[in-house]
Amino acid sequence: MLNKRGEGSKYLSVWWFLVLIFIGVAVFAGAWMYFGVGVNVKSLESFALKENLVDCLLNDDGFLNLNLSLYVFDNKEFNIFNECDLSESMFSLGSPFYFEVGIYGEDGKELKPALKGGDYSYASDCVVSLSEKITARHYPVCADSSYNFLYTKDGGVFVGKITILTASDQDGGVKDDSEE
Amino acid sequence: MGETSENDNPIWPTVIFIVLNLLFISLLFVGITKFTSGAAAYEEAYAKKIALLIDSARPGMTIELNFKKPLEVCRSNHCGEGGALVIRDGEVIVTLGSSKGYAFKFFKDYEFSDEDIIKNGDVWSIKIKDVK
Repeated sequence: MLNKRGEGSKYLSVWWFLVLIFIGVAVFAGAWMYFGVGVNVKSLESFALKENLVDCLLNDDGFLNLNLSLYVFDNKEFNIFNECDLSESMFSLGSPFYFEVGIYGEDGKELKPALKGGDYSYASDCVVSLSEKITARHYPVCADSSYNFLYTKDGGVFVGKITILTASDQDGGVKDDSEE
Repeated sequence: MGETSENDNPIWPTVIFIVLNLLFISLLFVGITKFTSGAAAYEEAYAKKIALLIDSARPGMTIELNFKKPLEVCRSNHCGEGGALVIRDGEVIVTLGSSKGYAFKFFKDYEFSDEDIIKNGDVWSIKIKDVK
């Protein structure tokens, strides 16, 4: 025979409510950890930045953009931010972005020093992340590609190489009222 | 067999136990649903989506967005629809009911004014101006 009152108090004891509270807290903590991480779009951003640079620096006919060509071969001034509609302030100190464009001749020698913008420290981070395939929350995600281009020199046509490395480490977040 | 009151019936503690457990599970389900589909999640998703669209857009383009769901979230949180989407100083700021909204930067050198965000019912458009 069961002790009916004893059975009831067993079910409705304070311990059972403590168990329920513990389960509830654990479920909410798990949900917070999972959904609180947010959507990581760093790889999409670094890819978009790379595509932007490719579109503006290389022509469809395989030659360099005219202004870039004048800069490389005729030492004319070249502002990559104006040329590619990039926000110069967004690539200033402490920027969440980085890009590096290297331009090489057919002999593999650099035709001009690399064009750079953003947080330069990401260059070394990218070496690690691209070779080791590291994915960490507070680590930049990088994209790199190289493309051949044609150029003329002393009456001959040569094939050069342009390398583009981009990185993004933007997490985004709550609007900062102090900036207003 | 003697008379038994309702309290002496062995079924009641079990019923109460089941009802309380169902109540707990329901509250947990409602709480989790509210937590995962709240304003903050939509603010982040739309701010990032719009910033990426702007980064990939070219001058002269118009970006059309289906803003139905964010507007529903905004209305349920009694927020001002006029301030739901603000683009300024290289940032997309989406505010759908959380206290401060969510901000995400874009790297293109485009400038926006209030007139560049065209609100046509649930479809909102963003005009990318020619910068040069």
